[in-house]
Amino acid sequence: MYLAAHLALLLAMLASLLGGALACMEAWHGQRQKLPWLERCQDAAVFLMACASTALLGGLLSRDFSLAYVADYTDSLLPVFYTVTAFWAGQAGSLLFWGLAMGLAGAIFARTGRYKRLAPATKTLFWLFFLALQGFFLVLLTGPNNPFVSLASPPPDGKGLNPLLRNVGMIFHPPLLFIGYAGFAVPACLALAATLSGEGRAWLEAARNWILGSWAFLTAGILLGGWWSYMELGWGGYWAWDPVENASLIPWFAATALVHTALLERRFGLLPRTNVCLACLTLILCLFATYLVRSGVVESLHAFGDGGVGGPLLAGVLFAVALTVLVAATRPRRDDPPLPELGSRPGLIVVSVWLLLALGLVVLLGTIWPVLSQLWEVSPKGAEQGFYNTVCLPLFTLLTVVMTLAPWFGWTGGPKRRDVPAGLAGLWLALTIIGAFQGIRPILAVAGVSAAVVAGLSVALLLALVPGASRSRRFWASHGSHLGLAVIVLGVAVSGPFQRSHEQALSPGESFEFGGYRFTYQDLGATDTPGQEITRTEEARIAVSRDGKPVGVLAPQRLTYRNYDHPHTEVSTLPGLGDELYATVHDLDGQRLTPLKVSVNPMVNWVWIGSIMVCLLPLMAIRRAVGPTNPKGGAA
Amino acid sequence: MTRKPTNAVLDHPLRKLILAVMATALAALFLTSFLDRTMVQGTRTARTQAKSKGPMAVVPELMAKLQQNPNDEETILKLADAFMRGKDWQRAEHFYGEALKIDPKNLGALFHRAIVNLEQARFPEAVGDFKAVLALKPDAAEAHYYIGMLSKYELKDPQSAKEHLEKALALAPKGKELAAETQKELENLQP
Repeated sequence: MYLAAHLALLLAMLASLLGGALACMEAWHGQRQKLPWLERCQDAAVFLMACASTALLGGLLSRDFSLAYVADYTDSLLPVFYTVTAFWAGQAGSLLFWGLAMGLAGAIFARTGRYKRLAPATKTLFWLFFLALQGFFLVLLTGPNNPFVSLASPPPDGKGLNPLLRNVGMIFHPPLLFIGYAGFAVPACLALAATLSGEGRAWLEAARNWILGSWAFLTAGILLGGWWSYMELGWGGYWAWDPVENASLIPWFAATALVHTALLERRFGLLPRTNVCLACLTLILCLFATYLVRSGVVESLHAFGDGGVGGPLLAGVLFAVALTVLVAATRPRRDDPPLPELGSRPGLIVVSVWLLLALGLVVLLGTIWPVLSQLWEVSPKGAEQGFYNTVCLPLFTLLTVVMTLAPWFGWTGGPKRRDVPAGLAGLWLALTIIGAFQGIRPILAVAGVSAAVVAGLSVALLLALVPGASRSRRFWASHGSHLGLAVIVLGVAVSGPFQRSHEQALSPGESFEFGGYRFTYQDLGATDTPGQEITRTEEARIAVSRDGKPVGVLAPQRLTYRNYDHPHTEVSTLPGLGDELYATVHDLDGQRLTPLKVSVNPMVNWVWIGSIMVCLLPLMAIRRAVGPTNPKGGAA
Repeated sequence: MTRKPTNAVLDHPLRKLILAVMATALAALFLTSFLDRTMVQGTRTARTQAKSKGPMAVVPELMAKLQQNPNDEETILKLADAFMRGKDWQRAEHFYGEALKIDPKNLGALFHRAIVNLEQARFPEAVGDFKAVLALKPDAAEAHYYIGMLSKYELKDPQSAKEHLEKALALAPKGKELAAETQKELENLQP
């Protein structure tokens, strides 16, 4: 069966490469008759990839350890739910998932009204770029990253899934990221195709929903990764500026910039070349993120290590950069409209785009610094958290302020109401100065909280002053998601600097006071389940009270997995919109906790509330195509 | 509003070049896949099979290679690594020692020999190797951590343990596991 699955991937690769070659010939001769064949090539490739994926899933579910991938990521006792998620737990499976998601994105796009309205020349060129990209993935999947490697002497049982991956956050975090990455292939290929065919800005309308949808998936993937880090790694935080975390954040900055510049071109024809570059840059950075995670160039907790795909991915990234520059150069400069003036809403959007790109550049440089500094340093070191916090957090705060003021400026210049933006800016400055004089440190946290408060007030004023705003989907999509970002800024600004942690060894019956709470270690429960996936569960019960009143019971655990030597720590929390109490047990000496670590995380849940808003509200802007499609299959 | 396309993909010289580049890229992808199948995949299959048989599967091939060139440092190190992964500590120590005869400043070999010594409960020798690592790389947080742990638990030297664990804590990346572990060990250290 696996031979057939591998053959299916090979045929999918052939369909993609031959389709790409056919598209190239059609474009070269200025013909369009073979367009239906290109679409059939895509459908065939997707069908074959789906067959191969089904075979891999079947192998996982039947625990067929003759398949190396199944033996590496599952074992006979792994629950079915986690067995399914093992599909994307490893390097080869996750690349197959990404390839399949990209193929499906292409096939779905080909059935939309927006695709049907494109000129045939643009469609032909779209398939040239898309099928070439898909072919590249399939070359990796049939070569160095083949998920269908069979073992000559299968082990009696598999190695099992890493305990860190057995968490709902980690189950959905990778597929959401990969769906986001895959979705950005459509706008990038469309941008290249439309520029080369001379169709102008029609691609932006066609790519609109794909940009928004992919952005939402990517954002959800990143934020869920943060939540997983908080709930599973047990260090008390959600973002450690780890190279792999950064790798997914870098394309997010470019994608967010694209969401905003695309709006400017759709409405006013502004920044056409920038949009082409940003659409391609987002996809290139997604590929670069994959390179960082899979090449072994950076050390990280959740990097895959070098699986032989680092070189091809880097070559692919460099090729894509060169291609983007070449295609952008074909657009005559005289067509570019002038930049908007600073004192207008488009001008402030351009400022926020620059801030986003600056943030992306800082994170990119910080992430690859150990690689770059190898050129002149004997023992290169990565950028530390302090570097990122010092450089990025002021930029994020400034971004929140610009985002708050922009809606009060007109699209064609000047503030719509001078009193409101001036008042909001004044309020932000006043709150920051008052906080600073009150002795609250760090000042950056005060500036962040003030920015979030002012952003919330701004949305409330817009709701009150703009007629029909509360019933407008577009209003909630844009201002609601901005409000969500402000809520995240509020959560980060408070939970980051004002988090308090304490570690103390405790025996049953002992207690301590910390952060205004009393923590009493009641007892330790231990359950042995030999022969099960988890062979031992140890759970400490910590009663928490405040001013003599019970608040709840924390139950941090240590789980011993059958295939892993070291017990795994499970976090326990007492959630709240104010303080969230967070506990982990590092080690045990009999019944004694050595030590118990507790953290008081103020307002941390606002980060997750804002995250949900940011991920879901932009989807309200997704809309169906309107207007008739060209019955002949194009607008030409 | 859809603008009528120029339908002149060939008009701009760069457009022709781009199509030619794309055609070359597609051909290169096809050729890469073909070459990978015929030339590289055999090697990869052998590696996969070796992996499935365990770390010692590569030893015969490496020994044969070493016989042809007894001073091949890379092969010696690969052998040492294979024995270490196979938990054959004595042979691993021997080959790391051989590698260090060729290059006494090989940090990796020194560090791994220290670990091998530790696994064999030869604690003073392990400390000696970790100190040799520190002589070459004073900011090696892991070496300080291991000396600290050995001093604390095996050599019963709390002064040395404190000194090295503090240095490990100062050098370890913040927020990472090593820093947390070192902090915990320092807190539990009896004066």
